[in-house]
Amino acid sequence: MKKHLLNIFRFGIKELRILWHDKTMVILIAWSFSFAIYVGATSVSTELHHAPIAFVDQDRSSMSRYLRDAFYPPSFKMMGVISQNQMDRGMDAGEYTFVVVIPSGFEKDILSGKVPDIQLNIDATRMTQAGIGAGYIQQIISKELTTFLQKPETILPINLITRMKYNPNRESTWFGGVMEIINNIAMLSIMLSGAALIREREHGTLEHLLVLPVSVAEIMLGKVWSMGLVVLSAVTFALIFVVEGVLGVPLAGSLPLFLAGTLLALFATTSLGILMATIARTMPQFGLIFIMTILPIMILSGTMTPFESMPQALQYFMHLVPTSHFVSFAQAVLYRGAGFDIVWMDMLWIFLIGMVFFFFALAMFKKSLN
Amino acid sequence: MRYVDKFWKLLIDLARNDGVTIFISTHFMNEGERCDRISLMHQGKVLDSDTPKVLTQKRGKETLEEAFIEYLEEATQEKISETEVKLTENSTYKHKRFSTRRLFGYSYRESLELVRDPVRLAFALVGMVFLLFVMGFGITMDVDDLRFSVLDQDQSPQSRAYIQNISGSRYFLEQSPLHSQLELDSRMKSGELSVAIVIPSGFGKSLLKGEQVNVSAWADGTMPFRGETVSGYLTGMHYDYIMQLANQTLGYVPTLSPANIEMRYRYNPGFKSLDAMVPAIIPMLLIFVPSILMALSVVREKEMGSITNFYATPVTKLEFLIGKQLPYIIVSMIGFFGLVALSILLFDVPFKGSLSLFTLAALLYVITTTGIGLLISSFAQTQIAALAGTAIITLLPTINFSGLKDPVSSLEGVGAMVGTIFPVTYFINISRGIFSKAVDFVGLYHDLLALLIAIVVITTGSVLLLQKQER
Repeated sequence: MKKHLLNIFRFGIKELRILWHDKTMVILIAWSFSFAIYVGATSVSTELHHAPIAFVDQDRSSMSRYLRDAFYPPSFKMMGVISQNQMDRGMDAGEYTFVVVIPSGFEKDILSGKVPDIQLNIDATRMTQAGIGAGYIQQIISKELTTFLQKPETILPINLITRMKYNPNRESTWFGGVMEIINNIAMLSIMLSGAALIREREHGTLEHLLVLPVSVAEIMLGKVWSMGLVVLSAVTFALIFVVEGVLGVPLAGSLPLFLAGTLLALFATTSLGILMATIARTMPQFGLIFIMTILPIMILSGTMTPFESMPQALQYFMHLVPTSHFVSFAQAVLYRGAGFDIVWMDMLWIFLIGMVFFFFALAMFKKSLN
Repeated sequence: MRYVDKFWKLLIDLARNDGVTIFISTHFMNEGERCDRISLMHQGKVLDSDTPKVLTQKRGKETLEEAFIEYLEEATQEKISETEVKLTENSTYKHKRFSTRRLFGYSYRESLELVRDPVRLAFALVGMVFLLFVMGFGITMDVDDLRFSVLDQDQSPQSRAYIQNISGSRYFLEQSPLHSQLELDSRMKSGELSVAIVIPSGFGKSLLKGEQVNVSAWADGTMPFRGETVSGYLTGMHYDYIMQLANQTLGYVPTLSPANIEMRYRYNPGFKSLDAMVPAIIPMLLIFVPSILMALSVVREKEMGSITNFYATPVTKLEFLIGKQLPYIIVSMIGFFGLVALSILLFDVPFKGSLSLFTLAALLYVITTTGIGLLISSFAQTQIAALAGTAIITLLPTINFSGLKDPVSSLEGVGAMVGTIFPVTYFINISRGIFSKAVDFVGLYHDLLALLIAIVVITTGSVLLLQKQER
């Protein structure tokens, strides 16, 4: 037993040495767990942010001017008053997401008690912004008109107060930072372990390993632990220094619990990487399988779009991918402060999927050697 | 002492003192003379084998060279003349600056490699189709099927009517009711509930008396975009209910706003996720697959050693790069046509613009994306680094900064900068413009120009960074 462990340990050290000599790779790993996280978290906002809006003002009244002034940063980016012609061209070119058309005689109609139409043009190819923004603009216009007319606000019989739990100010940095880390965990662990195996095969050093008195499982576990360790230490660094330190995201839950979950996820993803490497014969083939796997993992695990809104069949399919459980686990622990009693199901799933990947990869690996 | 002699001294030392047997293959007779036994060969056949001395004596010659020539003449049945040697000496070789022959030579070589690895080709094309499927259906910006539950502390007909209004909506899926604030906290914590509504006791009574009453809603803000949308839904349904209520009591629907806002969802009137996303997924696939294939094809030569053909022959950097790029451009264009056909025929995404203009733009785009692969390959030394480099450089900006979800003008900081110089931004704009908006050449010339500039910059960068000799 001791001998097996020692072999596994030494194989891991060998992998670490190889990685250390590939300076481009070391720089890429450092980059993706530091600057990339920062950029990903701060640049993208998932809420309404700088939505380009323009006005076609056919009324040119004090009321229409008053309405125009109600749209300002950070939610909106006022692109000015344009003509009807410019509106069509600008929307075609994608310059404006929203264009409000105020008809002539607007102010007069309102003052005389009529209810005139305002046209709101929305570029519906920009789903997120269009969906959230349209509701906002509607509310802003109603509110501004009421204030302008100095009408007493209608008292409604029921008042709805909506509050955001876990992220009261809806700051997208909170979400972006951690999701970026999860994506990078999946990307690097799959790539590092899989590519390390392909390299051995292409260079023929796999033959050298096979004549040694060691088992295939030892070779595999050596790759799993070493590449897992590299990513785990990078994750710890990124969470403490980048996410909590630089970005100032308050992490609600326990860090050790999160790291334990990360460890399980790494076991699953590195095994998946090796599994993919046993299917591919060359690095270009591996690269293609990698892209086919990593894109759905990154986009459909719940880091970008709401998981429960995907088609049902796809949800079942994605449940077989460890990252979808890991995302749900990470959100529960880091944002909502959930403890082990709440997230154990997710952890169990990740572990079970990891075991399936590992033994499947082991079988495929053995088969590919014969 | 010459280095060759030193080297020979080493070899002889090994053979004499350490008893090592050494095989040497050479066409220099003076080297052959130093060996213990030699075999003379021609076209894979051994002509004779013995010690050099015996071989020379057998033919009765002075030197080994003369003996070898006689052996050769016997084998080939013709006289070896001096003129033959002169011919090669006199052949003039003119060094051309740019040779299309060398360029196509590399293209031919690369095409052969691609065609002979059908698995790679199949992975590339089938992979694109697979991803279009999964992501076309998967990337949905619609927020629905949200799990919600109610903590109804009133249990009156009025509170039930209010809840009914929400649970009847297609956006929400009602879960078993809540019994306490504690339960609300733990069920939201586990992620089981995305929305929870608390109706205070006395809700029904106050409503009947005409007093204002507060209802609180909790939305999970973990994913800010989802939280935002949920809050919008709730407000909408809330107003709907109040209108119904007013209609019941007053007999008419009061106007809450002094103006009526008419929404026009342009280009995608159904506000369908699929129609908006498919034109953006095509550019995504046409960067990942071509750039990775391209980067690996060059770095692979570095790792396998066949790059020496480039180091040691007159082929120039530009010929090498373009020559290798051509086959991949062709493969990517095949992929492009496949993706467009699938989007129109299978996904029913309306295609309003001109296909020829789209093809031109796609050609510029795949030249750019394969170029990105080349650029990465010029500094990556191992295939792993090339794969990781391509993935890191292309994945993050494409998914986050190129206008896939939000327009680039809504980004800020480094992301806004990256989004502005990243070519994918422009092709997503072109793709959406042609698919959904029927924009013509004049409307897109700005984006096409951006792609052209990208090609020039990337190619120049690759040529400058590529080394003609290993460091």
